[in-house]
Amino acid sequence: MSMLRRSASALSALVATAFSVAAQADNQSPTPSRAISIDGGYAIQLGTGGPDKGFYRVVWEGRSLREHGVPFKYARALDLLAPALDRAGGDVPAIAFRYENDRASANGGLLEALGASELPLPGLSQLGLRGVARIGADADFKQITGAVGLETPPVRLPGLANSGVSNWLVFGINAERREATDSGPADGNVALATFRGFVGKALGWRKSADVGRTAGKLVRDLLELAPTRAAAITLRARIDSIPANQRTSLQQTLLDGIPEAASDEDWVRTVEEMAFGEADAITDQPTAALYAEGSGWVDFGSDPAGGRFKSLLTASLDYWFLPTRDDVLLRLRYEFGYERAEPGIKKNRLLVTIGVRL
Amino acid sequence: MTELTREDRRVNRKHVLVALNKETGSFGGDAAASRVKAFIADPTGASTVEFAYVGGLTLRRFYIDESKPNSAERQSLWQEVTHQLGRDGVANPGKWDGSTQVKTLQAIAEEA
Repeated sequence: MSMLRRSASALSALVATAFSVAAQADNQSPTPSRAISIDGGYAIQLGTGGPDKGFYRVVWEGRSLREHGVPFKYARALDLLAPALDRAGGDVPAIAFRYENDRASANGGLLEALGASELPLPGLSQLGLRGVARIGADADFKQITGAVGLETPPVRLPGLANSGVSNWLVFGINAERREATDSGPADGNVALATFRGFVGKALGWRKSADVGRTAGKLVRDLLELAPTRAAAITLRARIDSIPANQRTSLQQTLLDGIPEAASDEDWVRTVEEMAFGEADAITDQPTAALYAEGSGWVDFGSDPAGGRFKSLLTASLDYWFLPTRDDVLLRLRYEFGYERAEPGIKKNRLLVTIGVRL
Repeated sequence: MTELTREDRRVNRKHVLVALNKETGSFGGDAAASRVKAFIADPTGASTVEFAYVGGLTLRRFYIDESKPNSAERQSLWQEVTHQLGRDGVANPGKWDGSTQVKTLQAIAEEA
């Protein structure tokens, strides 16, 4: 009961934070920049899955907001020449503060959180195959697994080929090495046949901020630093020296705009058009997203515990319940089955989460 | 970055959008689909606003799930993007994810 009270308290604090953030909606200028993720919720175990548990997670991505540039979302004065915030890329933040108080990860899947890496293999592109590599561990780090393999290109699910719904199905084969950290006999190599499928759709598209005002801010900042096309070309050499994966969105917009302007006289109009298109895209906001993923594998090991075939099904609903915020969401997520990193533990649970992305 | 013409950059943007569609089956969601399809159909004739709009879409709009594209999906997308650009086999420099915009992924692939 006390756990329930603590979880309710944590949830109410998160909701209060969310609404406090929402009160700043007038200042919003949404961008993909996200430095801090906060998730808190409750995991309801169904069937015989054990006791219900509250959980929360805080992830801070990046080194320092001041040291390496400021995300545009909260910038008071943009520095067009500063590299982007050195933030996380993909599943594993390069530099991150991560705190979790429970195994119930809000995104589900310690498997991805622990690390997985692409495996570029020469010659595969001609065959259309993809190389994959992954490493995982169970929650207690009693078993570590590493695997390499090949996957097919994604194919569309039957009936959804031209629907516009996000969907894919991928098949693969893996060679996996399992290492038990506390006992040798459990070590072994196994071959796996895998599949993963996904279907999802975002619904109720709306604007999370005023397009004109957002575009106006972009125009002012761009023209302040590059009032003419000649000035922009001078800046280009310096921005070009920043690797593309470290540039800010605004820097890339400036680079994209230079060839778009036919002449010096055309510069201001081009900047305005670029800014409007950009603002129109980044203020698109779904009200909800519904998605489901299934994945599974066939274990060709000599005596796999619990059967050769195991799978995991997840179904999620994300709901952005604040009309002018794109960074506060309610998530319902159902998980059923086995994670690859923990094939001995069957999940059957419902997760209710409030998430804040700052 | 190698000096590319206006037409080169627009055609390359189309290639990235086609790659995203091949990987996910999506054109960026209902709010963007018609505009993305129109840009793919005529990248050099599209207005500057449309060029900027499709470039401003994030990868997450195609992948829906906040945690995607995961590692395997990123590698698969990279392989498809570089294939579309006629640059098979170039290494993925990384540091991009679902919050990355189309224009940035394009620039990364052009620069790699």
